[in-house]
Amino acid sequence: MLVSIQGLTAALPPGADRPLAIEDLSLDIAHNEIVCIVGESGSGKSMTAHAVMGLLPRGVGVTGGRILFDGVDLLQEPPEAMRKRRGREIAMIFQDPMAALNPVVVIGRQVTEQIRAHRAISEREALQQAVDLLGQVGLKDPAALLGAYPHQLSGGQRQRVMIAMALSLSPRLLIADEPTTALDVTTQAQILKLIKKIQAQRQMSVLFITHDFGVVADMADRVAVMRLGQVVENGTVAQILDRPAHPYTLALIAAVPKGASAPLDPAEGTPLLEVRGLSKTFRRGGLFSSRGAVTAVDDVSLTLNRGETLGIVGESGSGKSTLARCVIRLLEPDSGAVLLDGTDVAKMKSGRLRPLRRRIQMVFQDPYSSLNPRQRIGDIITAGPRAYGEDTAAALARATEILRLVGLNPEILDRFPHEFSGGQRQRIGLARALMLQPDVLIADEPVSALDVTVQAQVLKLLDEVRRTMNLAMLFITHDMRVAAEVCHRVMVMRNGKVVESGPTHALFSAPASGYTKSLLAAIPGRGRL
Amino acid sequence: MNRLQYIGKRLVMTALVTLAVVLLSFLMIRMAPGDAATVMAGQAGYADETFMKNLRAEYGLDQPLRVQLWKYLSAVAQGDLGTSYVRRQPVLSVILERLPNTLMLDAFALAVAIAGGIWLGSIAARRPGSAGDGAVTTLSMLFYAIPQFWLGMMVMLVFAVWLNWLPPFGIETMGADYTGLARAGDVALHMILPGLTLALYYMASYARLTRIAMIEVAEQEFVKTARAKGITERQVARRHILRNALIPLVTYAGLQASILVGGSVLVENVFSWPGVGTLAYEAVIGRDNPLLLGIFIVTSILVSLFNLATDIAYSLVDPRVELG
Repeated sequence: MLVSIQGLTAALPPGADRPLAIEDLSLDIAHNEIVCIVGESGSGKSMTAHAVMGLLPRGVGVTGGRILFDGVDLLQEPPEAMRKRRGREIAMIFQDPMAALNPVVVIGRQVTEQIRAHRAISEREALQQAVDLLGQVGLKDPAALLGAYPHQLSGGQRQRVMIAMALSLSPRLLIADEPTTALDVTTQAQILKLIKKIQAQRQMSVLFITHDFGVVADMADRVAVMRLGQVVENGTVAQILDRPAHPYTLALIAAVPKGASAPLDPAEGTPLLEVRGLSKTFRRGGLFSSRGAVTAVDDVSLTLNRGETLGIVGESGSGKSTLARCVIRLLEPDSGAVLLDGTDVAKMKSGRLRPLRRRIQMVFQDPYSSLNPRQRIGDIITAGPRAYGEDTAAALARATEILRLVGLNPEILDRFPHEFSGGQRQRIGLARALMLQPDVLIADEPVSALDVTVQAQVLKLLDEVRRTMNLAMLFITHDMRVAAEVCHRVMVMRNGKVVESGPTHALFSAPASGYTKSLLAAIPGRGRL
Repeated sequence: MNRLQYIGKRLVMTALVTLAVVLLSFLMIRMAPGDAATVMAGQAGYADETFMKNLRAEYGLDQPLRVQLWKYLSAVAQGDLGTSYVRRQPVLSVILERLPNTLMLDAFALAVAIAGGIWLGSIAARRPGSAGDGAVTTLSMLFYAIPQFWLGMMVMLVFAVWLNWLPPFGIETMGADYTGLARAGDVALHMILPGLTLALYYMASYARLTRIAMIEVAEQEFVKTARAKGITERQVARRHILRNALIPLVTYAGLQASILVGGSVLVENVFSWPGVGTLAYEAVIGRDNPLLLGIFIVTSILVSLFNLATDIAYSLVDPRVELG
């Protein structure tokens, strides 16, 4: 065994939601093996990784157990010895490559800093090694990248830089903490492939932290399922995926959207919402940019019927959110028409638009930042009706009803957003939108910030609400699996243009365009789950 | 837009701002009761109608406001800021003679304040809530709250009068007639007390700003990356935390440089430092309108230039910022 964690226990600071971050955790990582820890947020999977690195956050202290690395207990190592191991024997890559690189230091310097922290070589020699490393992780023109700042790179490029840095001293253990969660699906597939390739080439051991069973299926030799600081189940990937024993593992796997249960097409009719030739261009001027204008939405048309869910699928930068914002007139479209029941709202003056606004409502991606933290739930969800002149008592009465509909206790009206979990907040966000009794609901990545079991619940709720209230729903997502689960029809977007669209089942079983095929192929764990 | 174009645009803006400053201050000074003739008559200890009339005619004060303004503006446009009533010398040369003294004092004070503030702030940020942090925070609050003129008098009392370590006022020893290095050393000694008095106040705000910026940056992901690389804590603090915490400091330092140019009036007066501050004080007391206006114009140009320099410096320390 390269790593053997035995009975590791770490205490959270007083006042946390539970006393122990990690409870009596035992886990082995053999040489040349990829071990995945899978779990939902707060399960302690990241804490475990940080404990191995010796980088637990302030206030979290190890209270028991051992972490043997090649027979040496890391917990007994003096800080200076531990520092020398970090980056050289044990390296780590993080979730958000945007935040994980120092924004004001050039890439070359960030790579050489790590090399020179452990080896007495000159900056020039280190830079030469950096070029080699950046090339090895598949970055084009590595020499030119040395002088670039992180913000000039894409998310995928940044994560490759992180990997190059982590590999620079040929560590024996690589810890990857949700390394692809912040990336687009095709980029995710490339990075996963890269990690696997490098692991095999260098015969490294990898501790891979993820919440995604699809990723587990693609990457792991062995899997540990964590919940509330404990390992609930531990075994080879085949055991865990094919014969899960613990009910929690079963629930997690069952919650992964399978994309199999696409609902049936509803009856045809005159479309409630129709978008014709919509375009939106952002102009940008800057000191060094000669790019000028970016066409975020380019001549997009769609129709949406009552009771129907249309999925808009695409990677970041595809224009899907801009399209939604133009439809709801949070952004002004440059050209094209948005017909709501036959009335064009695309160019309508704000005074005339106002009575129509309530008919199209939106649920936002981030349930943490989309609710005002200083307002009570009652104020948040009745603000819309009150703005339309409804009296507070009537609005509150309806709020009670709507909260029940979204599965919340109406007694929460007096409470504040921070008292709720992500899933509950997303229900509150949905209740807020429904309070205006809209005809069209636009859901912009409504589940991408949620844990997988919560995600499944919210998706189910959205579908129920659509049925009960006979809503037309525009469902925006980057996740093909989620789209397949809830949408009647799907439209794939790329660079502002519609690549293809059609009934969900047809589009997924026989995609016409190469791009859709590549998106489907990039889904982690495809065929395994 | 490239950097030169940007600077050009900003210089045009500076000219416009200066014009606005000239107009506003010209009008505001005229709105105050009494004029220079009254003051000069007072100084002469003698005034009758003819004497006042002659004085007013000599300085053009009997002409309509419009005419006075137009004359002043055309003169300013040619670099002529008029003649000081009290000193009877060209305003521009009076100011230029004093300006280096003020800039020197301010540069010294700002350098001490920034260096000391960053040093204290990083000590405090290392362990928030510790005794060191508490000491730094308390001291900064203290220096932040003490009025500068009072602090000035106290340091003068302690270090110049009681301990007799440093000269109490002025810029050099009267009648010593030092030259070369000896003179520079003498001036430096004189600069310590007024410089520190100015610096302590600003140092307090830098310490607080550095502390809070460093604590914030320390929470960022890239600091975790830095630790994961296995570099020492000192390198983490200096290369990653401090380097990013300095970005807001640049903006702040630029603002303060501007404030200092006009804001050292009190301290300069307490220490009789022959700078623009004491000059402004004299001009106000003596109703020396041309001199006062001249000081406004020169300081406003300096402030605009400092702001421009700040923005350029900002784009240099933060590569994500583009000028434009």
